[in-house]
Amino acid sequence: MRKLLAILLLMLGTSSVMALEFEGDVPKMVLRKLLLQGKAQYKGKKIVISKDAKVPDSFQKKWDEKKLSGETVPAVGEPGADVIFVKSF
Amino acid sequence: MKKLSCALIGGCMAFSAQASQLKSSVFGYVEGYVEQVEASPQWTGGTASSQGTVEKSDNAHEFDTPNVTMMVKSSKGTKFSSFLNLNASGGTVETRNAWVEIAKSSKLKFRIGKLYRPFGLYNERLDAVPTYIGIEAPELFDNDHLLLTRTTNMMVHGDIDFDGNTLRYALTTGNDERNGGEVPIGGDLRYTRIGMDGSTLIVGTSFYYSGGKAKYNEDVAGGVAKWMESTTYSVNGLYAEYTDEKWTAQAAYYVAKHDGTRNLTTVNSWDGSSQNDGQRDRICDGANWGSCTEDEASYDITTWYFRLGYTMKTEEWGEITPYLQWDYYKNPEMIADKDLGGDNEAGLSDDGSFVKQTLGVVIRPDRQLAIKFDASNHAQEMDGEMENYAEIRSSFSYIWSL
Repeated sequence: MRKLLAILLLMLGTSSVMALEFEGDVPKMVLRKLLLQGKAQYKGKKIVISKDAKVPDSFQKKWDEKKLSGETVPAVGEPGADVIFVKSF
Repeated sequence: MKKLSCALIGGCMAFSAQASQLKSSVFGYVEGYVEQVEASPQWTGGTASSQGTVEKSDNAHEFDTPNVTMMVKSSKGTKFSSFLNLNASGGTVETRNAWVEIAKSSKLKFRIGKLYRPFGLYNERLDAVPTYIGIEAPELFDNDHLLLTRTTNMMVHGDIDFDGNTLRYALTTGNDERNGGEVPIGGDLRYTRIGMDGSTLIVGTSFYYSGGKAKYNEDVAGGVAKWMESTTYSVNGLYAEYTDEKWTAQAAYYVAKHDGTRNLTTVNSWDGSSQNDGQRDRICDGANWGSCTEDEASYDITTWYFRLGYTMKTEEWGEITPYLQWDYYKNPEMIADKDLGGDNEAGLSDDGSFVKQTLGVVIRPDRQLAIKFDASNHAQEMDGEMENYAEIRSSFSYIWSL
């Protein structure tokens, strides 16, 4: 029963991860974790968000907190060489 | 050592030419606030040789706009950034933060100016009122009895990535409350782990050392009591936070250790009208006010808090998050009169301790708007009896941006 629950949770988590569409050299799971923390860069590359992407509330609340605390959070931008470009969540 | 000094002055950082465009954003938030405190206990009629009696006095309800902020964040690529945080709540404009940051990488950044020090869960977060559960700051960040200054001047910090989980370190120094040429040092180390389900666990520790003698500074609220000639002190603590889609749980524990010297002229100017016998024993070694001779002050301040919230999503009201909080604070050196540098909480009690239990709710109809209501019970022992009084408050905050 416990194993079944763990598998279900893993599937739920994975399906959420799989929804993330992006361009850039970063593992999907790592990018999701970075986005949940409001990180704006990974290994020197900026993380930018497509203007068409809808940022989920669970991400946005953390980004608002970090922004009002003076930290840099992912911003809307264009794809580029030194950029990890998030197309959708 | 050379590497450390290089990092501190920022002069050894090598940067490639920056072709990135300068990007600036202007935003802030406005907070309207109202509170009503039930008739609260006070000491009255004390003399130099004995404490007075405890009587309750009425309090008028109060409106306030504690936060009318404008923030400007500017950055060029990932290397350079600055932040300005102004607050116009008090009739004059106060610069809460103004700093410049140079980053060699995400692992090594140098920040200088006026900045909130990373210290526990809340010191940097307190200007993000619309985003957290609760209205009042945890007691260690209450301006009436801070453990240390909230701001400092220089910081070396960075993030070390572990497959998306993060270890963040920060080392700070600044003018703080130093007596002369002392070098106060602060630090914070925290690990953030993101779960498969998106849950976040933060565990961390913070420390501070005054670097020698620190002095009361009326321009900067901090950890030195107004009646101290000087004090050498340290603060250490642990904290943790768990959040997921529904739950938020936070806990922290801090101890400040002081080894100071009282200014006896100041202490002997008190007439005892608002002080109690416990304070006379601890601060005046049992002598009458006006003839205190004990100037050594070695004491510990202890505080902890626990906060728990549960978020529900609704169609009509957006997010609704009921929460509860439990705060404990003990400062045996505290007195009651705010004009003398005391507070209206720890300073009232026989032993310098009080607890505050809070129940409240945050309603977020929109991510930019937070409506908060809460009620607290303050409890402290006065003249051997447990005295309680309630306080209700409400906060409306709205994030704006250009």
